Amino acid sequence: MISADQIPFAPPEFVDNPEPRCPCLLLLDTSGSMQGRPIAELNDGLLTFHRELTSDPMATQRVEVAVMSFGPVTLVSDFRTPDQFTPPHLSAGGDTPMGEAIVEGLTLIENRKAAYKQGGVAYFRPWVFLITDGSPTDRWEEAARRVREGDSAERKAFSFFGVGVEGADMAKLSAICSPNRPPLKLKGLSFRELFSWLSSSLGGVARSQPGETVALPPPGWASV
Amino acid sequence: MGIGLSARAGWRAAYASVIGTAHLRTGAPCQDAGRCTVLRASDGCEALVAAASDGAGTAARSEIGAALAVEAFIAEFGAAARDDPTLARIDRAFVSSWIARFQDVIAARASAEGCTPSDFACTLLGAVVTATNAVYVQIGDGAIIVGTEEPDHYAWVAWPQHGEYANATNFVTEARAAAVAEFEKGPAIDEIALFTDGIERLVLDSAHRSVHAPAFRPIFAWLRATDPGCPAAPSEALTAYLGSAHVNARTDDDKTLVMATRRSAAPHGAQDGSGA
Repeated sequence: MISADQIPFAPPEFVDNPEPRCPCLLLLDTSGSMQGRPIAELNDGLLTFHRELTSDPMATQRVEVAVMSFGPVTLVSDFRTPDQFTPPHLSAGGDTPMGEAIVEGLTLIENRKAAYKQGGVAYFRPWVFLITDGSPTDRWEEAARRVREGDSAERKAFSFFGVGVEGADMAKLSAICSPNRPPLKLKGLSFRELFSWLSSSLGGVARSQPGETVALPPPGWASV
Repeated sequence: MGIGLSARAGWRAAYASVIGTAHLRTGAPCQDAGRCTVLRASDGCEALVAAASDGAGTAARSEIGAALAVEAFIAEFGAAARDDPTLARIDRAFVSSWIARFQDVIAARASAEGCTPSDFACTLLGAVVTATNAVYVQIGDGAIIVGTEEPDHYAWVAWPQHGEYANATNFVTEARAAAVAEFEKGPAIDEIALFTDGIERLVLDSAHRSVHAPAFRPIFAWLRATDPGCPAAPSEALTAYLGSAHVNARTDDDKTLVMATRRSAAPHGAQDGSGA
């Protein structure tokens, strides 16, 4: 029997391909109503998110996080791997331009895909994660159309998850989200559980092989 | 082709499938299969028939699907090559009808075992090389590479089918298999390797869409110096190599490599040195 340390040829040299990427965009409501404990818990959740992603070696190499806040729409952090990503400290104030944030966020995703393609970088289906405690104060119909078109069985351009914090307009959020992926309501202010779930779910996607359906852990942070 | 018929030795071949470390952790079986054989065609010359298949990760019986796909390819394409080594009979219609027959076998087995054909989901890489001609079939990811006229340089036949996303591919068990199948015909070649997606990212340069030749040179140099013929069992050397830390540090997936050469180390391979 030939053992691994005595194969009869020199170990061949491998190509240094970039790791496939798993992009995740966080669209975070930072309007006035988030002031106080909600924004503090959200900031805390982002720290948890960063800590858990960087403790998973595969996620550290493959997940890319971008953060866009709305109230007003601001690109807080463009796509970066967890080791390069610094969790922002968000402050609340302003109205809720959710429609504009979604449209700009989806454009950011499209641009990222184009950059991957140009660089020969393989990638997984992007995730968009929207968290809000309110109701859009701008026109949201175009955003809803783009979400439903992109997060469909035909296009599969991205997966769009809507999460409503206490006080969120769940009816509008349902109108925005794809019917296949209805929005979930956050249990209290359990942002930390939410981001812990998001981190392990992204880790699962980042190590998935062709033909594998990624089983997401049950969202213990959602109220039924 | 660069090397004339007269310079051609007989085929030397080796193959192995090794379980990925991710499957070892979860207790899942190795869902890859791969094998080749050398037969004597009606022109009196050798014909090489090779196939590899990667069973889908979450499909319950995909390791059976992969093994059946490899055997079905070798049986039917081998018979066609034996009867007509010009491979004129093997065209796209032949490939489509083979896929349909394979899907019938899978459907019958699924119904007998109370499951669905998608439980047997697997990819297919297949090649036939006679004295004069070659055909290649690919459904799904992984790839087939062949030696070029330039020594120690390799070209891919079809790029791995991943669709837009890294974790998506096509399977020979799907309704669209015949439509998405890559089918290529060409002149005979002297070196070939078929491999599943477990080592795809190690040996294909995705930025330049090219074969990373240094990943194959030492293995082909070794293969050219082995005894002629196609062993009936997986190669211990390739098994050890695919299971080595060198490989496992870069992939946790199952990996299969089927390779063959009819270049011999002797005439102009002085620099190759098998090192053994």
